[in-house]
Amino acid sequence: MQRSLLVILAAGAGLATVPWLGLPAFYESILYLVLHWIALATSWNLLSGYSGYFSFGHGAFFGIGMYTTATLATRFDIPFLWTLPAAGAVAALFGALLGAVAFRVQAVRAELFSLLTLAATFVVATLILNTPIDGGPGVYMSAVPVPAIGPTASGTFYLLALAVALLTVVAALLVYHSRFGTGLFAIHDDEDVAEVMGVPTFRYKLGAFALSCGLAGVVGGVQALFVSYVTTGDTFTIALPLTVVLMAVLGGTRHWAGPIVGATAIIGKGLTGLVLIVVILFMPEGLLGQALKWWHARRGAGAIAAPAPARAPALATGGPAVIHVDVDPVKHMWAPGLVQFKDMHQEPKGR
Amino acid sequence: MNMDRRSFVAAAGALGAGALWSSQAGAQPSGAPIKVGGTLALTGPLSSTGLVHKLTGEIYVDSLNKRGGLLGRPVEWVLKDDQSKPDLARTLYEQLVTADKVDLLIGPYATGNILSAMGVAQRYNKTLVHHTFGIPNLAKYDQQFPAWSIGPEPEKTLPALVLTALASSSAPPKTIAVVTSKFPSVHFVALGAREVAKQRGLQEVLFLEWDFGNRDFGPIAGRVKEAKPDFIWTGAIGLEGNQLLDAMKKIDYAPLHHFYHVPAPAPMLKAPEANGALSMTIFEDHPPFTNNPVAAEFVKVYRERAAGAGMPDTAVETQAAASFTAWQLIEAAVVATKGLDDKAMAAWLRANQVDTIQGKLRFNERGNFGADLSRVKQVQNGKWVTVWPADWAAPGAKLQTRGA
Amino acid sequence: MALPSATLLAQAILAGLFTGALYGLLGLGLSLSWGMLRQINLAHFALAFLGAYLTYELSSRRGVDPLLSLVFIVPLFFGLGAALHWVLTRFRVSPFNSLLVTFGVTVIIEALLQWIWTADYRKLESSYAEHKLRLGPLFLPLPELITLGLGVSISLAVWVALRRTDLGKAMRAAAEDAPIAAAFGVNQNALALMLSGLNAALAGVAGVCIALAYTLSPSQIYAWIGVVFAAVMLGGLGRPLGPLIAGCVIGVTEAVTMAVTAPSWAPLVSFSLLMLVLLARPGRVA
Repeated sequence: MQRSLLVILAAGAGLATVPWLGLPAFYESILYLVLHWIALATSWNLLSGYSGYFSFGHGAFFGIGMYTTATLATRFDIPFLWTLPAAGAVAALFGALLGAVAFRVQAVRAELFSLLTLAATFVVATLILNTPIDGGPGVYMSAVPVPAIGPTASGTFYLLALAVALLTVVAALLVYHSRFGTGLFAIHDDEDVAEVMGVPTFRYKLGAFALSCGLAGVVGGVQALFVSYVTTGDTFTIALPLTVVLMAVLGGTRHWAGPIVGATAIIGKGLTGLVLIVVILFMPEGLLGQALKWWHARRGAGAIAAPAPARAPALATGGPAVIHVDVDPVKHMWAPGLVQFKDMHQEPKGR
Repeated sequence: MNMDRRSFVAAAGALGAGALWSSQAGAQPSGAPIKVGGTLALTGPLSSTGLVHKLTGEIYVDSLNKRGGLLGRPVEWVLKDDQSKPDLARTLYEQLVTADKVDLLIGPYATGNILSAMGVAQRYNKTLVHHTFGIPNLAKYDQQFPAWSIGPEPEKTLPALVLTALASSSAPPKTIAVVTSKFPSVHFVALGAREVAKQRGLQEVLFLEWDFGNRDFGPIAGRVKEAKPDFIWTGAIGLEGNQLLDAMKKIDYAPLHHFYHVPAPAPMLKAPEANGALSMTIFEDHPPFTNNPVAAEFVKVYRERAAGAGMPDTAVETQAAASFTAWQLIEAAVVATKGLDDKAMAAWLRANQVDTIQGKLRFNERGNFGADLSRVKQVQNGKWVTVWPADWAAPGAKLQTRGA
Repeated sequence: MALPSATLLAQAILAGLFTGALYGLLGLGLSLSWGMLRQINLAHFALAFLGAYLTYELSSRRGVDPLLSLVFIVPLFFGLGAALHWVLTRFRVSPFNSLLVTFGVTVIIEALLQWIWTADYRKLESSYAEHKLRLGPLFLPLPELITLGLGVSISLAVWVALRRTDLGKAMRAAAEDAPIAAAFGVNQNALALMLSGLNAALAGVAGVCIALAYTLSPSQIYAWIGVVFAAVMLGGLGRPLGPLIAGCVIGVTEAVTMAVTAPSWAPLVSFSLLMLVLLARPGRVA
């Protein structure tokens, strides 16, 4: 893990010099978009990829962050940079509230959580549209001064996006390697078993969700000033949650770096619909997951027992792991032709 | 605003004739091309209107190059696709200015994207002429110029125009219902309509707002029917007007007078229940607008090329006219200042009036908006016909009242 | 907040039922795919619009009655659905990966629609739109009635088929427990293909209904995703009556809200209700 952390920080430091390289401003804006999506996809993956609780509400918390910054900066004249932690905090708070209620209910599992978060998006959007927070005309931020962090405004936004992306990626990495992360993956594989094994499932899910929402909020805060005109129509679309899901799944949801690969691939616009289909058909663990498998297979490392003749995609691992397969065919068969092994006990070693 | 139509036609005719038959006609432009950069929504939800602007721009640049280009040089339009997204528009305008190093800018489609472009223009001190900006009080940059001349306070002037037109009809309304989408550029004008109606002594019997993206207009139509207004002001954009009319038809309700702010023009013409619907326009494909030779030539070419491209609507109306006007403004500023200096062009525009196919535009009021050149048009027998003010109305056309 | 008249309220409830029936029709195929085949078929919406555009084309250009176009659309889409399913099983795509693949299919279909019919608005002008029934002071327009009729009858038919017929029972068995079902002679591959074909055919039927009542443009595909997913999840995955009932609940609450108070609040009411119901009785709604 230390190596990965060093690589990230080194890359971050290197990338931070870009605004001073004298490139045309447009490159900074394109990179801003890439970093923006990396941050969104990675923060989404923190809860949804790791624990399997797919949230369709990432847009809601991104939007809460956007409007928090917009309101604080225009209504209360708070300097832009100070609004960012506020944006994160407010989004995290709402995430925690929603999670506290949702996760308490025992029967709320995967699909119900997806529905709840999707519904939350509509609720938040309508509330904002119908109250003085927006009320209809949108919030115009052109009067808000852009802080002079970089040599130009585009450079500043690029650096802010870089900072948020770094923050998100480091968080994802740290969680991945911690007990917290292991617990989340255990919840993904079998929540009941995880509970029996002593994982505090409620606290972990709540924590991951709040963290994920908070990070999305900060991304939103930065975006508010980047677009400078915030409207509910542009903010709360179905496109955002759909895009982050696709980016993370494409890159690989079980690895902290998967969403980075996915985000870059999709933003690069190199992927048309056809290529997307072909990629996922042949690389079900996602681009990164597949790449790591090849890499490890070539190095002959670890005792990766390729799980079952029918690969169970939910168990794509990013590193050497020992997998014991305990199959209970009567209880957990899924679709015709597609067999899922639910009773897997996975002990990740040395990730 | 009562424009002397005859003097306008004379002036525009002179300009137009001059432009068409200038001594440079036939002279091949030569030298390094002048690059005009901009984006449009070529894909995404706004793309059906984006394509109207693309076609208009192509027609204008072709004709400009046939007339000798600008300053004797050929003009090249560097057009990129912003996919209807404001953040992408911003990025692409930065590319146009800093990487493609275009000489001049022209705006994208619709308010949100124009704001993004305006921000970039402001950072690089470029002048931005744009064609479809709907919220004048957001236009704060002094080097931006709107081609769609709705005036600095459309929320006051447009309802006043419409209500004046209705007052001259055979059944002037006494009650009004204001129903509107919460889409920013129509919402604030609808709120203004409430105020103006109140000032003129109309009684408001219903006020409703819906979320842009609403699918079900049944209950809204039901409430309108129950309120029985003489006049419905509908803050509708795109298909919303049609959806409301459709829903009203389904419950057997046909309003007496009805106005739709910025409807998608073609669908309104096709629906029989839309007969008599009013809307706002700055230009229509009929005299007296087409008495201007430049306009006449444009509508002819547009009709041919739109038909060739398989577009369902081949008539020039507000969108195409606003776009054409934007190009006219750019050409006028370049020719007048004999150069490509953004600040000089901006100064000249602010101090002068420009003859365009809409009429004379000026930019000396708040937000660089000037006169409100809006007119009122009506669907009559499957065609949009200007009905008010009288000097811009189609020959012999009057505002028709249902059943009158 | 003015109290609406009884007529207005009743008409609003009707409007909500009509919209709900379409949500149900759109959601049925999606729900069966997700619940029984563990495939989240995002392409379902694109397929529905493909069906809508085909109906528009057949009716506007060749004068084919929209309902008659079902004869052509149903078998065509059955084939498309089976083909899609075959691809997804051949590559053993997981549920959430199926989201990705079907999104790719959606993008392709959208591009196709835009290429053939352009981004402009297309409205089917049919004689059905001219007719309506009257029930006292209430109006029941024919296209909406057709949608309601189709939605209810098809949902019921599927429900009965899954419960009472051997084929239906075999499908359910295969969905719950394939190897055991296989031991009883159930060929789950064939059944899955059939079910997939059925789901796509349902999308086609929904498309015909959309063409009858709505104006089409390719970007409209995405406008339905949110609310139909909500209806599907609310109704319980794989339950044939689920999307219809949940769709109607959502449609009616929104319509009544619009009749009673500011219409822009409608999504808040319906989705808050949804959240409350989910939290209070997460097991089932339909």
